[in-house]
Amino acid sequence: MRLSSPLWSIGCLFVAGAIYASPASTLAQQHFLQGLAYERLGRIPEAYAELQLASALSPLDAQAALALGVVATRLGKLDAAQRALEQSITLEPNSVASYFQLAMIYESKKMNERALDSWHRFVGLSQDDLLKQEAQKHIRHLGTP
Amino acid sequence: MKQTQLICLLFLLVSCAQQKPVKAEYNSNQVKRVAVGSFEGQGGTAVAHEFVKQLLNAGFVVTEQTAAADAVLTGVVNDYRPSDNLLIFIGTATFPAPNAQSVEVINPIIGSASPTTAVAALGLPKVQMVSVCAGLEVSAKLSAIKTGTLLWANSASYESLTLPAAAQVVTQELTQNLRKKIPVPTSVTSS
Repeated sequence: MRLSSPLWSIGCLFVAGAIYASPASTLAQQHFLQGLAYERLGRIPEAYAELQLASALSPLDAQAALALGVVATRLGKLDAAQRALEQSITLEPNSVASYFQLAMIYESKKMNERALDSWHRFVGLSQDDLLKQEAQKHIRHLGTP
Repeated sequence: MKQTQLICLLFLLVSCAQQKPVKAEYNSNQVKRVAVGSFEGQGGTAVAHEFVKQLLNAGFVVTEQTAAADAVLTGVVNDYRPSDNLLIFIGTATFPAPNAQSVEVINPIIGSASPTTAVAALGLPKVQMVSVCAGLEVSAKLSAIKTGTLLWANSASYESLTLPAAAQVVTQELTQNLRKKIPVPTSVTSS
């Protein structure tokens, strides 16, 4: 393979990208784990700060986005939670917990059509029968004019 | 002519005979004013206040004094959960499916009252988080003040991010159901 060939260039870019991305993703992972540790201790504001960093350093990480959304919801930061959870389902369209959290947030913000859609997605994906019953109740309530 | 009159008379008699008897002791139209009494249990006062708001929104005439009302709304807060923990497992879990195969679930969420589901999972991810929501269940009844007759009873439950939001939905649903049974008076004369 000649050094000037397009395939060689793409290969070099890929390796360079991996080397360059590696420290950032490690750092993002550290913040992610630190955030989860704070969350477990009930130190939600610290967890939120760590998970914000994790999500900013690794914007394509669906798990970091979900964790950020959950913690933001607990802090009552519903706009931030909505953004993070919408990002999480963009990256992972079958994330069950994201739909549950989003449905609750949409309902709180009176965004009923979006809430209905999220509840339907949750019912289709969840394996928890009790939570599915709960979701059906929300669907009935939101579907009532 | 006589035959026609006889047919008309027979038709009239048959029509009258088919009418359902009306219970003399209760007529829902007699309920003009509603008072909101006490709601037992934790959070009962807040639920009662929310009922006043919802009844007024629905067009009912609500009185402060029970003596001035035709019927009184009372009830019980059966379930009061200001912070209900739900477990979120970050990662992929495998659940047994009814057709003996297994289903992979990404980032499952499991309710605190769903232990069987949690146990049934074949492999839950180790990374866990807690999601918090609030839940409320209320039973309500409307009784006629003069006779003590039970006019209506129902219960409802709901979950939301906050307890006031759950209370709003529960009281709204119950009020809508009540309105179907007890027609809202079009006008009330002062007495």
